[in-house]
Amino acid sequence: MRRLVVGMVVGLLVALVWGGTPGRSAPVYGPQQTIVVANDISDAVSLDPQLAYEFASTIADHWMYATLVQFPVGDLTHVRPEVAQSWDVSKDAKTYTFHLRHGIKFSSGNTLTAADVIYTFERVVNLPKDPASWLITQMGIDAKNVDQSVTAPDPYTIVIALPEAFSPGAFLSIMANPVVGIVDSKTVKAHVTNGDWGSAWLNDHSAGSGPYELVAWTRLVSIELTANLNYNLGPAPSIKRVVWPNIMESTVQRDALFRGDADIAEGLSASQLASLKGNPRFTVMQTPDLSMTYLGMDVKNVPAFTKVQVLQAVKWAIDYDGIIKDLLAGNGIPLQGVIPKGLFGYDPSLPYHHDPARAKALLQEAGFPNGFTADLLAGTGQAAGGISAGDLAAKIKDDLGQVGITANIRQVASDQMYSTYRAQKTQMVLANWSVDYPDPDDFAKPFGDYTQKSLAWRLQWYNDPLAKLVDEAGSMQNTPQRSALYKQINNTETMEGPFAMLYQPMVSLAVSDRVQGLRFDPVNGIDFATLVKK
Amino acid sequence: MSRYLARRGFLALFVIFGVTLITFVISHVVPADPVVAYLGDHAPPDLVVKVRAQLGLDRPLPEQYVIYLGGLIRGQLGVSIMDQRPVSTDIAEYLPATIELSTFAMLFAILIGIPTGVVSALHKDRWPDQFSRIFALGGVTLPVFYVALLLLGVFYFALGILPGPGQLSTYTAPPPRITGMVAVDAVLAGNWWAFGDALRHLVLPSFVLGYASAGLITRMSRSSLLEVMRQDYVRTARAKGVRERRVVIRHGLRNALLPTVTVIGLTYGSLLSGAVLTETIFSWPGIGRYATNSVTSVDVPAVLGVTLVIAIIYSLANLVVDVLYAYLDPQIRYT
Repeated sequence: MRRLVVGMVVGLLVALVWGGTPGRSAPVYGPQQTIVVANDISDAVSLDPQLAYEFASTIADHWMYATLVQFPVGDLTHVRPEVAQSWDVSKDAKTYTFHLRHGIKFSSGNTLTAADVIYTFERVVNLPKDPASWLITQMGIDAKNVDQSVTAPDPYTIVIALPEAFSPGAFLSIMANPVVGIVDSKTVKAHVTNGDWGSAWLNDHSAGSGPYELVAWTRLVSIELTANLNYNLGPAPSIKRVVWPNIMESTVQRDALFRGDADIAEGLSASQLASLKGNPRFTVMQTPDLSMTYLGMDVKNVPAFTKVQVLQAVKWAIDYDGIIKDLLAGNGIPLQGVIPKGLFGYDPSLPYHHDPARAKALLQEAGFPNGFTADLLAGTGQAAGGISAGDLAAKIKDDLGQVGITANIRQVASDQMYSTYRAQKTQMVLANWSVDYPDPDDFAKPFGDYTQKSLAWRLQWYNDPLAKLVDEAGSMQNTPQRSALYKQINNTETMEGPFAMLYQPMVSLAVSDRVQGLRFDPVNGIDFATLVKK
Repeated sequence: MSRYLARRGFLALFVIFGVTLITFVISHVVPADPVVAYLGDHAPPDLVVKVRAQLGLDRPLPEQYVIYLGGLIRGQLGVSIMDQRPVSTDIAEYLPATIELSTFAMLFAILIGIPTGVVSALHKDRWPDQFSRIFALGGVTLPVFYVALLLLGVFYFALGILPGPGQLSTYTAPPPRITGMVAVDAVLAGNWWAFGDALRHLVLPSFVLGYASAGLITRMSRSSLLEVMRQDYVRTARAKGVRERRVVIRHGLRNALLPTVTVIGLTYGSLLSGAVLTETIFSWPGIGRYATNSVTSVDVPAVLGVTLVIAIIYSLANLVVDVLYAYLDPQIRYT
């Protein structure tokens, strides 16, 4: 009898575990209306659009919060109207007037007006510990002057008056950034606790007017969006539910894609992507990322790098093709200027190639016929393009070794690496720079203008004429003159700069054949609003 | 017994104080800047200075430690730099998932480890013993990530009979959060589909996490059972004509369990704190994942909070083991 009871209990348990059909208690939207994107989203810190600065959270916010203007997916050179139907720029590039569309609805059903835009700007500059705030404060808008800088003469007009001229191209591209994703001020104000500007509430709820709204962000587990039924800025998307399960391991991401548990895998390694090519069930879609991986050389800490010939010798010593073809397996493209492909001002010329003999001759000319020794600082994790930073450092060491330069690799955790780099204490550093806002200014400034205390400053390269040129180009509209200035900036950087650009990585998606009409770019991410699923 | 518990509790306070001091010092001397880790590499230096002051990290280290201890005395673990929530809220969110996983892992380990150890002892040096030795050796020596990826590859990727990472499938609506343990919450909500899905999702990670402990338990039960079976009272029992099964279970196993309980208790503590790799591979939102994230992002308050909680868990596990000793062995009495 006892055995019978035990048997029945065990049988019931097994039946429950294996017989349960998960779909029975599924939410309203089924697989055809759901997209599952396997990715590592552990970096998400906040889903409050004014606080979000990490990849996972800004991409999710991008689809929940409409902005004044927007970049069409796939074209990051011109903004198009979104919440603002038109705008005027004053001749001195200091005053921007946005004319808002009427009748835009937030997911709550509230109507979007200029008051919401003003509240959004107030949040950006007032939220404490805001990693994204500098995008706005760099233009001179801060907590003290936001009331005068961002005003609304009527409920559908916003005037932004900057204290200093700021490049219209850069300004408008920042206006497309989720940092100024417009929040529903009435809803958010109703959820303010302890003067937190509603920030705690916005981590688990959304209050935007984009095509999707937040269902749940379960930290370290998933971010889940559902269609915003009040969305009226465009046609209702066919995909009603978007889920990012947090899968850190790329092997497991690939498994989930193969089993059909994920429709798209976003973090596969270069070799995993290469092995997928040719499999009819999947497509590998690639587009150049707006970022670059470079070798930085400190021009004060290493005496040899004070000589331009030595900087050039390093650039001639590197086997760019070997890095792209062998290490990256095609998951990157050549880039030697400071503006990546896909942006205004991109220069496709590649003045350097692997020429050890020329590198040696330059070293001799500079007075270093026997080479020299320097530390090469690299991170312990992944380099851009899905390869190990250690492998890339080893390749650079090998290439430099061939011309007599001894690079002693020091691999440290990336936080430690950046702390050292930011303190101007490196000799050589292997690092990556990626886009904040899609304008050439976002790249020319850090690489060229040392007064920004960014990359050029970290390598102690204080080039005043270049800084002036960068400043001048930054304050111009996208005209042929601006293009000519960036050509000049690129030229100075490649000839004299302490940055050896190694490659521009690709953003690669492994996509199931169930997904059709997928478009994406490195700023908007995947266009969930237009894709369909079989 | 109560005097003993009070003394142990008092000693545990010292241990915990020591842990906070050591962790605090270590996490502040590592050459990485928590403010830069939080703001990102692009943050301009003036923003870094501003946020450092907002976080109170510009104050002298002793002052920061005193502030931290003051918070601890008031029951506050501080606020996480990365997600700006109280660390206690974060731990309360992540710990249940780890307790759920570790408990299942422990069950696996006990259910596999003790019978395997018994069989192994009863068939000493014959093929079941050799087999169990290989099994136990695998548990102790094979890297967790290797076992995890191998089992995922076989049971999820190739055969498709067990689900992949996560606690629930994408199309299973999660039960309302009550305890934070999905399987338990599903039962409490009466959602049997979610319960079944949660149990299926528990199978692989708990096996992977429990495998190393199962190996230890196997070896420990084997050796202690062998030891016990050589005792006079076992021979007496046999001489009395007691059935062999009863001899093994009543006279052998109960006495052999004592050292095994020590291993189980200590292993449970290490399971709770050592689930880092398993949780990473299986996308399990537990304290291990939280700890990894906190360490890699130099989130000092979170690291301190997690370390403290783990220290408390270890102290408690040790205490529970000692108390269980008294229960299992009437000769042991604490005063």
